[in-house]
Amino acid sequence: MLGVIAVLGWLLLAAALPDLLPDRLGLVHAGPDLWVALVVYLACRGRGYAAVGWAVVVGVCRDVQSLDPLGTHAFVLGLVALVFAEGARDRGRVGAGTRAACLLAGGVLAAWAYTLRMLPLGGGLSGRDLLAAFPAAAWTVVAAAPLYAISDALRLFDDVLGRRRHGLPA
Amino acid sequence: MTPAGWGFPAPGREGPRVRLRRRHAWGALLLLLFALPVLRPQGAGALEEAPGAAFAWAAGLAPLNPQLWERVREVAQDDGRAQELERVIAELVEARYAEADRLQDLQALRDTLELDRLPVARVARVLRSRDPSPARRSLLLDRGSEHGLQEGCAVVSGGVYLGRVHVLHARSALVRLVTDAQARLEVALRTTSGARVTGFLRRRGPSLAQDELEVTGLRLPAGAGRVREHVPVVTSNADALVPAGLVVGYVSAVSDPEGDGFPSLVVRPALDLSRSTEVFVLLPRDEG
Repeated sequence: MLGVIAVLGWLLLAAALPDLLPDRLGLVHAGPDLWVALVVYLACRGRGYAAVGWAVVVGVCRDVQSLDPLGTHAFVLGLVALVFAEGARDRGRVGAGTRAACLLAGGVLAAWAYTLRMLPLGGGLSGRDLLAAFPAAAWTVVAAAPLYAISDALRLFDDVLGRRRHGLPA
Repeated sequence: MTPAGWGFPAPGREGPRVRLRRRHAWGALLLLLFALPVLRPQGAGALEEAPGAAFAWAAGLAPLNPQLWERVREVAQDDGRAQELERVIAELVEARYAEADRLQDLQALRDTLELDRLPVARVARVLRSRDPSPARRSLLLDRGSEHGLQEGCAVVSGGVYLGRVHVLHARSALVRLVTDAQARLEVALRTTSGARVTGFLRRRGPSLAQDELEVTGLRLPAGAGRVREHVPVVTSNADALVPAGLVVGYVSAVSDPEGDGFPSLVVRPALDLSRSTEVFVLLPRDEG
């Protein structure tokens, strides 16, 4: 139950965050993406493909709150979780540094997948947007650091993901 | 060669075949999700209604929505009877100012539309002024179908057109702003000779990061003059739910390299979301 409450709390924070960002430093259009941060956290923390289902749920929650049609972010975040989930093979130690690198890569992957995903729906392809994925992912790493630390310390997601993958802090 | 070497799982372990199937199952689900917005671009209303309304309800709770913290901060600082009285007075003053602002906005709207009788306007509080998706532009309002709102209704701030109601819940509504990539609107403007010309407004370019608009399909007949910069762009009269004459933006650049009477106009939107804590939703007046 704690895990579900933590997921809901994280989602509310992620939805409210864009309103809190200042216009400076390009944060409005390339700010941190806490939705991706949650999905990468779950993917690095969970075993097997446990995170993919949760990522789809997180994506559906993002879809119903935004103007994007149902399935848009569910696909993007599910894809990110599928790429970074442990999968069939044990990937070994996932430390904090590796996880930050995964989040950086996951942020870029999510932004690019979203841009490509919107093409059949009338979206355009802009090199500026593809490049903007990098600072946005970097901001995501910065913004997610305290949330990751709190989640690790309180073991917020243990009951939704099961056993921890080794290498992460207790 | 052990059975596990042929792809069979060892006792107590999950084998490659099982894992492969699971990965394929997730892949198939993702493919389905990829196809879903194409097959149903309007969304799955029944499926989205309950969670959408629940998240909108949560956004309306001040402790859960930082957008509302500023508005209740003064209330939280109260301590004791004197401060309680101070709070009441401050609230009354604030209410008077808010009412004056509303009247001013309504007057501006009335002046803009040049109407004696306004469409029915519902005041709605803005719960969220940025969409959770970085590419989209929306407002979340605390009024919904229970308050008489309808899909497609125009949303304004003073005399400025913001967008129209796109997703409607019982007690909340999601407004598609005019700066959204998928918003289209017929607009009108005046040329140097005073001729009224119309075109279609949409977001300019594929970039998600910019909110500039452009007018396409604009044709300048012979003798109609030309379009100057800084000219206001207003709503046209093509839509029954959007009154004509609402300011949408101002022309910031005009180019007609071929000189064929079909100029390209870049428009700077007039909406200012930083000051839009309350907006008006214009409902069609029931003449019956």
